[in-house]
Formats: sequence, structure tokens, C-alpha cells
Amino acid sequence: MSSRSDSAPTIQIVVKLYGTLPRRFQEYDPEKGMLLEFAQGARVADLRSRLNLTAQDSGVVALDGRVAATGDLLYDGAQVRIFQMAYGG
Amino acid sequence: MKWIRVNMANQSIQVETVPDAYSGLGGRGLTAAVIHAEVPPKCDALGPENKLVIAPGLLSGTSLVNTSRISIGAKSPLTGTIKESNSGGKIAASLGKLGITAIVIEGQAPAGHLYLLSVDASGNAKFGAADPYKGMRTYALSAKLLESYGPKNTIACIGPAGEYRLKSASIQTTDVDDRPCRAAGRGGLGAVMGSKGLKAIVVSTEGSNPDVISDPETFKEAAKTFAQELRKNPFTGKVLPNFGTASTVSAVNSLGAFPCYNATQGVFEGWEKISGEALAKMIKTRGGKTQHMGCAQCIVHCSNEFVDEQGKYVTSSLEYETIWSMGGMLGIDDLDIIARLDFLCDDIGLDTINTGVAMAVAMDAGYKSFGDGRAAIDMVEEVARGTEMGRLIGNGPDAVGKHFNHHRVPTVKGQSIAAYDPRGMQGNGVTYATSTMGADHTAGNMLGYYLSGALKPLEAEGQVDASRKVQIGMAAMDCTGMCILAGVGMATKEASGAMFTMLSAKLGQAIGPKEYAQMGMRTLKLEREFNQKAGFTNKDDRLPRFFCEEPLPPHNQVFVVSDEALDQLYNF
Repeated sequence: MSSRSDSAPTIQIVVKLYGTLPRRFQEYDPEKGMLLEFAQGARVADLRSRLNLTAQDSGVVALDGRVAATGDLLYDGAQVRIFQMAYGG
Repeated sequence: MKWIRVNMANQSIQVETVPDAYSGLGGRGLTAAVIHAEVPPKCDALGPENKLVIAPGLLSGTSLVNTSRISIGAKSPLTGTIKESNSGGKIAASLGKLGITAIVIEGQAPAGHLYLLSVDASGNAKFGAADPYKGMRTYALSAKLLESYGPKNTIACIGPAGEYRLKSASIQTTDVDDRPCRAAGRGGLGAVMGSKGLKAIVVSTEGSNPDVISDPETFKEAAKTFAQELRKNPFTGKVLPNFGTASTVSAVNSLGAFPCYNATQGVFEGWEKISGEALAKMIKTRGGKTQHMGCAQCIVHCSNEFVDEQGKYVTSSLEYETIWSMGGMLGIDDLDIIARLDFLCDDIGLDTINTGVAMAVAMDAGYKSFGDGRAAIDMVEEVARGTEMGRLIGNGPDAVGKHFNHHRVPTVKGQSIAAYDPRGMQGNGVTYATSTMGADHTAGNMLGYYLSGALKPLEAEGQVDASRKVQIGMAAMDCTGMCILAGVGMATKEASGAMFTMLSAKLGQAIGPKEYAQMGMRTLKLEREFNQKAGFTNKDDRLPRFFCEEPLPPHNQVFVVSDEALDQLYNF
């Protein structure tokens, strides 16, 4: 699944989803994830908005192994994982 | 409030009113207070002076959901410290409904003899001979006992590991399906039960004489509110029912804090094969159960029933910590092997965490290869057979490390760490180092802080303060009988308010956030004082050196919280 934004230059990121989140995207391939394109300068908030993530989804965005805040910049080639809030067990 | 005190030396039974000094205590708070008052701190944990205290939480046996945690306490043969290990299933709610605040087990049975203790629907306790059950594994034993005593009973028992008095021996409790697959795993309390000569405790589930609730109507309303909050919470209402605790595999690997290959890597390359998502898919495809109810009065249903390719039961419930200890730590990415190891540990009566880590140390030392599932199964089977290697594995990672003269042994006070590497989640390292009972993730797990962005996992700043706060909160929750997972629901004002209302209504005294925290602090102080009298000092509140010297990929970080900062943990 891919998506293109209007602005250029652009960046591409691969997003993998976990928990119940993949169920929201019919074409989602858990092996490959989703290739998304954003305008350069896009932030995590833009990604959340693109995916319509709400508080109820409790999605945590990790950029290359670090939990990202909504204001963090996305960058080309970033490996993005979005999983749901967990507390251990 | 009444408790049952038994002396194994002569199989005497006393039913007594709980002394005023213990009024308002339950669960871990009560086990800590009794052990602090009655067990000599320097005694042999496997000798007659130690006591095994089995206490439901303050709210167990009430109408409140998810309050089926039983606290089992003693001086630990594994750590030498005070210990509380808790388990789910039905026994906490059953004791609560019988109005039994605790069972205190003292002394030791005559050498070579085993007994079982039963408590009937009227709360009357009786000893029976258990010599015919000697050496029996827990699944066969539970089936046999339920056949003898009837299906309206629940069981806490030990397997061969407990009879051998091995330091990783667990006490297994039966779940709602009467399988002994719930474990008070940590700290070797199964060995304490074995040293007492007690093979099993059988408790009626038909009790109808719980302690009086001071304000039952208020309690009932607050209990409803709490349950509603749990259902609304995304974690307890959506993630756990679908994927169980295994949902955490993706989060911790994504953070690079999943210790694998005996804590030499922070991301397991095969983690997507053993994740919560993979587990749920496999179980569903084969006709097993997700959204399974493991414990009495549970509405979260985080449990599962893992079946093989033919749809035949293998184990319940396959949990995050076991997927890590028998998976990532051993380099095994095959859920069938992990599930088999989980079953074997439950059946033999072993802590899956300590046992997996003991095998990881053995593999790291070159005894077997990482990823060799057959070798792991053989090692666990050796524990049941009581071979020399089996006894080493059953005595935990320290015993294995000493045998192989291997330096990388991820334990604190003899107990293995859990599935969060202290280099990738520094606050969990603080908890491991400073907990009153050795490396114990349930004493103060910081994962929520990192995922919510409240704290940075790789930096020293703020970790001690946060760990202190969580350790106090957990100690308080462990007094109530509330499940740690359902306890997450307390994050909302409505749910925490309901909890305080219920505690107030139960005890007949005002309990607010301050009093709740005091409950936790009091428990921790008692535990800490016991340990100090046993000879422990701040110098024991340290992680093994390799955590401070060997960087953990992918972040290549070491543990950076200073000794001075660790020593501030108990400043309250």
C-alpha cells in the first residue's frame, strides 16, 4: 500500500503496524508494511493524522528503535513501527 | 478476619482471629508483616524456622473483577531476601470467599513424608497423607486431587522441582479450567513448600462467608465503575484480549530492549515469529483459544490456550515473559518449542523465567548451542529426573554460571532479570537492582513510562524517582489482590477513585491516594528491614558488572545509573 502527498521534495518511509492497527487497512501486508510518502519536513503528527490514529488506538510510534514525539521530524528511509501501548506482564 | 496456622512437624491446625497488629493488611502487605515479625532473617530458607504465608488480597473474594491474585511469601532460598510471589487462578478468590485472610505454614514434616492440606466449604482445614503423590507432576496431581476432592475445589501444589527443593521451584495454582498452569514462579517458594513436606493445598471454591464489607452498596457501585473503566481502556479492553501479554514483544523489540542470546542483543531477529500477533494467528488457525479467561472474575481475558497442529492442548497461558525466556534468550523462534517448554515448567513446577535464563547462561557458556530447542527441552526434562545438570538448571542462573565459571549471569541477588534489558530500559535496571526481592519486573516495570514518552529509556535522569514511584504503587497494588494488568486501568481518575472508594468501603476507614501510597511504603519498609537484618546492604543493590561494561546493540548503551543514585531509592 502506498500513498503520495502533493508537496515536493518528498521522503519515503516504511511503516509497520502491530496489535489491532493493521485491521484498519484492508490492503496492509504484515511482511512488507506500508510505504508512505511525505513532504520533506513532515512530522510524526502528520503520520498520525495520515493514518487517522486517535487516542483510543493508543498507537506508539517508534522511529528506528526510539519512541517518537508528535513533533519529531520524519526522515527518508526511516523504519517506523507503530504498536499499541503496553505495560508489561 | 481469621487465619489458619498449621505446623507441619505435628500436622496441628489452629484457626485464629487475625491479631489487631495485622488489621487492614492483605496480600503482599500481610505476607511481609508476618515474615518480618515471625521469621528469623538469618534462618535457613529451607529449614523449619522459615514460614510460608499464603494470603489473598484485601479485595479478593469480593465482587470486584480481576482481584484473584494470591500472594505467597517466605524467606527465599534463591535470593536470601524476603519474597512475595503472586499467582492467579482461583485460589485467592476462593480463600476470600471463605473469609480466610491467610494460611501460615510453619515447621517441617518428618523427613521423607509428604502431606496435603485441604480446606472445605465451611473453612475447616484438614491434613491428608500425600506420600502416594511423591514425585508426581502438577498436571497429573491436580487431576487426581480434583477427582478425589471433587470439581468444586482449587489447588496450589508443587511438582518434582519443589520436592527436590530447587531454587527455581514454583508453586502452581489451578486456573478456571482446573489446570495447574498459573504460577507463583519467582523466588523458589516451591522449594520452601517442599521443605515443609507440603505437596498441595486443596481449597473449596464454594465458600460463602467472606469478610464483612463496611459499606457494601458503595462498594458495589464503585466496583461497577472500575469494571467499566477496564473495558474502556485500550490496553485492557482491546490489546490484551486480542494478543495477551505477548503484545509486548513488538513494543520491547521496537525499543531495542529485548534481551536475547543471554542478554547480548537487544533485538531478536526472529521476534516477529514469536510476537503476540504471530501467536494469536497460530492459535486461531489451529482452533485454540485467545481471549481466554484464566483467573476467577477476570474480565480482561488476556490468557490463551495454545494447541498443537492437531488442535491438541499444549499449554495455557503462553505469556510474554516465557516467550522471552524460552525464546529470545535461547535464540529460539519456534512457538511450538516455546509452548512445550512452558508446559514442562508448569508440570515440573519451575519458574519459566529463572529456568530459561539458567539455560541461556549454559548455552552462552558453550554447553549447548543457542537456538537448539531439543537441547532446551532435554535440559528441562533433566530437572524432573533430578540429574546433576537438571539440578544445576533448577537452581537457576547463578548455579549454572558458577558451574561453568561464566561471567555473564543476568541476575540480581540470585534472581534472573525479566524480559526488559536494563541497558535499553534503564529504569527497569533500577528496579532490578533495588527491589527487595531480587531482579523482579513486577516490582516496578517502567515500560509504560517509555512508551508514553514520559521518560527517556536510555538516559540516567529521572529513572530512580520513577522506579521509586512505581515500586511503591506496585507494593500497594500487591496488597489488594488486583492483577497487575488490570491495575493499569487505575491510570484514569475514575478508576483510581473507584479503587480508593472500594478500599474505604471494605475497611471502614478513609483510603485516598496518600493512604494507598502509605500501604505500599509500609510494605517496602518491612521488606527492606528484613533484608537488612538478613545482612543485605546497599552494595547488594547493584546489577552485575557486565551490564555496565558490555554495550547492548542496537543502541550500544550500557547501564548508566550511578551507585549513588541507586542508593537514593529508599529515601521515603
